[in-house]
Amino acid sequence: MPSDVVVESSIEIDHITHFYKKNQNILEDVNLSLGTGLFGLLGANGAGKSTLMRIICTLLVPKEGSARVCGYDVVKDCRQVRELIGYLPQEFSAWRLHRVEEVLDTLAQISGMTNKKIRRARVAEVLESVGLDAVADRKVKKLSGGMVRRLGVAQALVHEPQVLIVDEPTVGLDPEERMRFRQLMTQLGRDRTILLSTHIVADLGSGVSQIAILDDGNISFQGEPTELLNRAQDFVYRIPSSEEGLLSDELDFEIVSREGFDQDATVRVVVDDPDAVPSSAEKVNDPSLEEAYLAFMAARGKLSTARQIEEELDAKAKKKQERMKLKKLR
Amino acid sequence: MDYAARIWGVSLSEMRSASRLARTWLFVVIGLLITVPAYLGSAFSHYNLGAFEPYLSMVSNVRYIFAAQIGGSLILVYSIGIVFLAFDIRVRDKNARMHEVLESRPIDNFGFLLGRTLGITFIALLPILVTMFLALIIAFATQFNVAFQVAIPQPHSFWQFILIDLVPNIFFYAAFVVFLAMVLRFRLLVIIFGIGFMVLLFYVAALMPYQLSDVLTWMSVQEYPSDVRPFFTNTLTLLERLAIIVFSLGMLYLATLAHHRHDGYVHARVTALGVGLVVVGCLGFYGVYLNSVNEADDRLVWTNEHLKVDQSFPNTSLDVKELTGSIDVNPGSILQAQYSLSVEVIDTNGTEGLLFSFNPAMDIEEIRLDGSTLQDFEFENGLLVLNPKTFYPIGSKHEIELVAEGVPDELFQYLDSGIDLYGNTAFTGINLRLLGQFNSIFTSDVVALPPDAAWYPQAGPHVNRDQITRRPRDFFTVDLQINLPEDWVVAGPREQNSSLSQGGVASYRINPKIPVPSLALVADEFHRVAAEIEGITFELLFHPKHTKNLAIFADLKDEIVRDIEERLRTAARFGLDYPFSTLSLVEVPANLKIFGGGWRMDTVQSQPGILFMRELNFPTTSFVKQTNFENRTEWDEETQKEYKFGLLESFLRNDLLGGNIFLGFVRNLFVFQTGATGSGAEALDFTVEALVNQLVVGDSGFFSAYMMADANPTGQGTFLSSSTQATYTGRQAPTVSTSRVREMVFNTNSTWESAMDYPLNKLPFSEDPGTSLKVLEMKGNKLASAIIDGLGKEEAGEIVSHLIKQHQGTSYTYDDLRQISADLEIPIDQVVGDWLNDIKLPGYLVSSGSIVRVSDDASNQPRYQTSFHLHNGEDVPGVVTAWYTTGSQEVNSQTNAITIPPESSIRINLISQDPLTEVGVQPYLSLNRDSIPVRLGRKTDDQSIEQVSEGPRPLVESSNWMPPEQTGIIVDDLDEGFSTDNPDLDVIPEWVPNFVKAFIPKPDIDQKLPVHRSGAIGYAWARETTEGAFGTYRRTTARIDSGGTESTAVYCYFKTEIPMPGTWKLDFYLPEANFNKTEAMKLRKAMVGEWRDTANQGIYGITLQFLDQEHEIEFDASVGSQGWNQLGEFELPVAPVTVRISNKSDGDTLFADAIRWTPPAS
Repeated sequence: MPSDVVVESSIEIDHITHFYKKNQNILEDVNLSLGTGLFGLLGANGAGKSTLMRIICTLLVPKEGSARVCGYDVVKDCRQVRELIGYLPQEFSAWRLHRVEEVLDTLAQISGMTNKKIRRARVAEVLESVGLDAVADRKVKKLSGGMVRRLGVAQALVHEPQVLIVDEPTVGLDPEERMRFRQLMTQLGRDRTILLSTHIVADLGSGVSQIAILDDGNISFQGEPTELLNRAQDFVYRIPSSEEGLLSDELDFEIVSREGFDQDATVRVVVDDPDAVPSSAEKVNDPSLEEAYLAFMAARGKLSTARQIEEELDAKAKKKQERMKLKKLR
Repeated sequence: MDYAARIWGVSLSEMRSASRLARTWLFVVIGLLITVPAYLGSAFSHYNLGAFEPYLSMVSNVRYIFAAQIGGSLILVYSIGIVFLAFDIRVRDKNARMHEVLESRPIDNFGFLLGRTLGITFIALLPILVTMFLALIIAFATQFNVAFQVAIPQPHSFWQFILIDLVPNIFFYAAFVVFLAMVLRFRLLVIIFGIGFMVLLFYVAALMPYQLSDVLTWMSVQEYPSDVRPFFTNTLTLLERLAIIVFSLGMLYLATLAHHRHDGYVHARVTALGVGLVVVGCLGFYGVYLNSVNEADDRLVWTNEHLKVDQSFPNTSLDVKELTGSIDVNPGSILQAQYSLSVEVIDTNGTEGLLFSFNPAMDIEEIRLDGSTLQDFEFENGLLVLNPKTFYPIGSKHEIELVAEGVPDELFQYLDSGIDLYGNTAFTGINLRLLGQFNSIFTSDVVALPPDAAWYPQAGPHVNRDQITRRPRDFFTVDLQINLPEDWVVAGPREQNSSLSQGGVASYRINPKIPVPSLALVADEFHRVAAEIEGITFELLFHPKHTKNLAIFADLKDEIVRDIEERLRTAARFGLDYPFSTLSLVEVPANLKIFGGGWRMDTVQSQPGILFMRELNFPTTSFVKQTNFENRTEWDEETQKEYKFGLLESFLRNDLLGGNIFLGFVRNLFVFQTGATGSGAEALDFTVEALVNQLVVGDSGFFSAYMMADANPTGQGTFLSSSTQATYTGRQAPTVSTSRVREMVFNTNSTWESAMDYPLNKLPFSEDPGTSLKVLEMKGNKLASAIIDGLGKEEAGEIVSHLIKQHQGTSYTYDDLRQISADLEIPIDQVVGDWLNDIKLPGYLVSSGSIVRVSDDASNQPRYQTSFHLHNGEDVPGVVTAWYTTGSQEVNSQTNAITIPPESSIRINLISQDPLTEVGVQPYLSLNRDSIPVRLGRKTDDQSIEQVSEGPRPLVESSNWMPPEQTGIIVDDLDEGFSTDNPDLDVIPEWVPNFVKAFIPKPDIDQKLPVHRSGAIGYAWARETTEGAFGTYRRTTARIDSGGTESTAVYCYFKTEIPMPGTWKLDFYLPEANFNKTEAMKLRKAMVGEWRDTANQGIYGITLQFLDQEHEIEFDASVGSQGWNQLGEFELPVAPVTVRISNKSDGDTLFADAIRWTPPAS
């Protein structure tokens, strides 16, 4: 770490702009500051989350602006930055013909864990922590999708990075694994910086200390989850499901969840215009983080976009699962 | 360390990936399939057959060829393998969706690429090493097995390959492919460029200068390694290998520029570093190149300087009479010499200064001339001139003392080689490498200095010493004391076998009792075995590691002694005595060059009193299998010994690479005692040596490096075919007849073609040594045989012994030889004429033969007399034998030689107990070239044979028979009037690289036409020798396969001048063709896919051309008869007339043998 750098934040993003094609900015004047703890980066697909993460991970050079990790510039000091980070990309697999522990061992060694004994112990430890210790000898090609994802988490952790950057980490995980993952992130976030990008707000869990929302290449929100929740007041309602039809066509809304059964059943909705809500609707005073995110987007008039993207993502995930099933069958 | 460990991590992962790929194992399998059978095949050949023939032993001795053959193949296979392992390295991680994870790791792009390159390198190295060590284990494991033993690879070459050759080269190729994979977007291009570069490497390796090929190719063990002179590596090779690694690292640095990941590099700095490393690597190559070029330049300077002097002083000016002194040999370090020379000026014009050749690497400390210290001398480029401005008249004698020290530079040797490898490409010398690498050796392991190393001063320039027409051999007496480290033994003509060891120094005195023309210095810590036979000490000096075979044949000591006694007696019978009291058969390193320079490029394995035994020859050949008689229980001890002795004798005789020790021994009987000079001396010397060889050994040997100079030499093929024949496992060891090999290699139509152009004394030895040697070899040996058989062995021997008596220590001329012949009344001229100066040869015609039954012999056994006439149509005498058979004999009988005077006839009468079925005349050297069959007028019907009461007539009677005269004007296919418009078969397009051209066999040419080969498809007129053809001395016909169109037709022409106008009859001679369906025809069927019987003759398209007229003549050969066929009568003016024959025909084959114009008056 440069001696002349006073580190206040682990990740400092300063006016970053990036594009792949001119006049089509993926990121535009992004500013962000992250300290220790779990940091959630929310945003619709295509919002620029992955690009931002790849810039932080030194895989991309921003067109404008700068980013620092623990005081190191991601462009000028990319090698030092790499010493500090662990990265789980959105699309991760591993060398199919390698065994699980071999993958981790190699990556740990490349990352600087050159003491074989220590490395071995660390690999075992991290495998246990992600629940892959039982398949340590198994080749990657024989792992399930969830296991591969866990392996991805393991590889990002194996060299004990100070900064962990995880991009859509829970894709493909079953609910139990998701829960375990959230716990793990919460635990790890106590003494390091974790930047976690997701479009599934629930994945951020209770351990998240800060949230940023990336929308169309801009940071539209950065703050604590409570702040986001506070902003969601007036946008989240509960209405009887029998009155679902009363929701006017002009109203853009998103049904977030259903509660109860039959006559007593109610739905929780996020709306973009509280004035258009039917009178029978009951305002929700304790919105969830997901509702808060949707409400935030709704407030920005992006609810339909967010919803559409989620649907697309779900459809893609389903398709992918079907392909995997077919492949396995073959 | 940390960085290295991270790189190692990348390497390990790459190795893991590669080791789990199917293609990796595919290459492992290919590598094993290529190398293991070759390895075991060679080992099998060596163990089972090597004992029969040194050449086969040499090329199959896995101890020596292991690294070059097996290692070379492995490098090749795995280099190709690397292309297929690394071509997708750029996208492999992306496909595995690992690239972002990897690229976020703290290892820079160079580390990544280096790690991957090392991973690929190791994954290629591992199976190579496993294969090599597996082979090593097999070799060790078989050592105690009699059924099959595999020789243990020579350790230095083994480790040299692994440590010096293998790693840098595999690393280079891996780096190169990684570089390609980074800079080229398409993987297919990576493969194409990767493989293409390998082809380019081969091409460059073939074209690079010979002297560079040691160090600039991937194998430094191309030559044979040696136990006697172990060779691990040298500075140049190490420098080149280092350059390879630096160059490879440079490539990897440059490859990082193509890496998409930002790495914090400053591009300019990386580019500079990469280019810098590449440049440093290139500088390393250049340094190696420069060093080698400088060596070649030094050599060129020496050669030119010596050639200049040679032109200035075309005649020998000095005769060294005596060489005495002492030499301290400190092997590998220094040679300190004190020489005393007695010289005499022999140039009739006198000479300016006294000129010697002396190795330029020697430092001259002091020179004394006639007792006084000499300041006025020049010593530059190996030319030592004393008092350069002083005139010395003929006959002046001088004493020179010279003190010098140094290590003789081997490059000074053989400056005037007919094939100068230093001016040639590596490919030119590819086979010559098999004959040794170092001209001379002066190391701490062994000292081997052939005379041409000029380790002692030699009169005159160091070139053209074998042009003995003007530079006769310089014979001088020797008395040298050689001081060596204790336990070292020096080989050579030690008159007193006195060795004195004192104070850690062994001293030997070399003092042959007669003058010698040269002296070799060979010394080592030899294992010595000696026996005194007929007052001569015969000693074997072998490397201590190579005594196994001495033990195997130890029980033959008595037989060997008896054999040597017999050989000495045979030689003495012809007045040829071994002149020294010692003969050393000394083992020399496998990497010592065994051929010399000059036009002759002769073997150097025979030196006065010394016979070099190449390490690859007897010392390391496996005789275990062939001398193990456990499975031959029917053989008693005597039979076993008889077989072993025969095996040994034939092995020693079968060396076709100049190492035949019997012929080497014979050189001591004549060539090292006197030499020819004057006009035609080279041919005279050669022929008389052949004569002596045939007298003493019964065979003649010939070796010249030319035999191995071609990429695909006939000689080599012949050696191998002869080796194949050596699989005979009967009671007698197989023998490779050097005569037979000689016949196959040299007695070709092309050689005859040249022989018809030059008399022996005019052969272009300097301009075209290869051709000259072939002619000399063919004619010289045939002449020697004719002289011996024509005069008788005793008589020929008498001439030779008188030559030695009169000219020992000096030289003789052709006239001297003829004078001795005249004085002894043994007329060589009457047998072979003026064979040296005259190009003319005898030509024979025979009558048909007749058989009569003459009176029975004393035991009432029937006797048949077969008689025929033989006419020599040329004005030179000749020698023939007549051969005959009764049909029941396996081998033809043969008469003694019969001399036939010029332009005369004789009648030959053959007496036999049964009627003869076949008779012929075998000329030694004649225009007929081959055997001439005699047509017998009857079949073997005993009843029809006329019976006469008289007794048998003598073998040879005078005769007035003359061959019947031919009427008309005949144009034969051998006559000048016959021509073709064949395409130029010898021309290979210029764009074809030389090393490819070398593999294209040159057609054998017989009087301007290619020789017809059975089974080959003939697109051009070719010459076939067949008894059914028309001819005078030779019966040949031109022939061609039908084909062509009007525009592509290939014509032949019979041209003649019509002397008077009138109606002329034209006849066409149709030869008797071989109409049987031979194997060749079956082969042809396989080639052209249809059965085409060459007997199927159709209609010939013949055109008669004269003035401006053309007449088409149709001749249906299918209904023609063998012999003359009338084509018609034509009204002709006095003019040139041409009969043109096209290859267009509805038949398969056309013949153009002869035409005949019969004049009107007939």
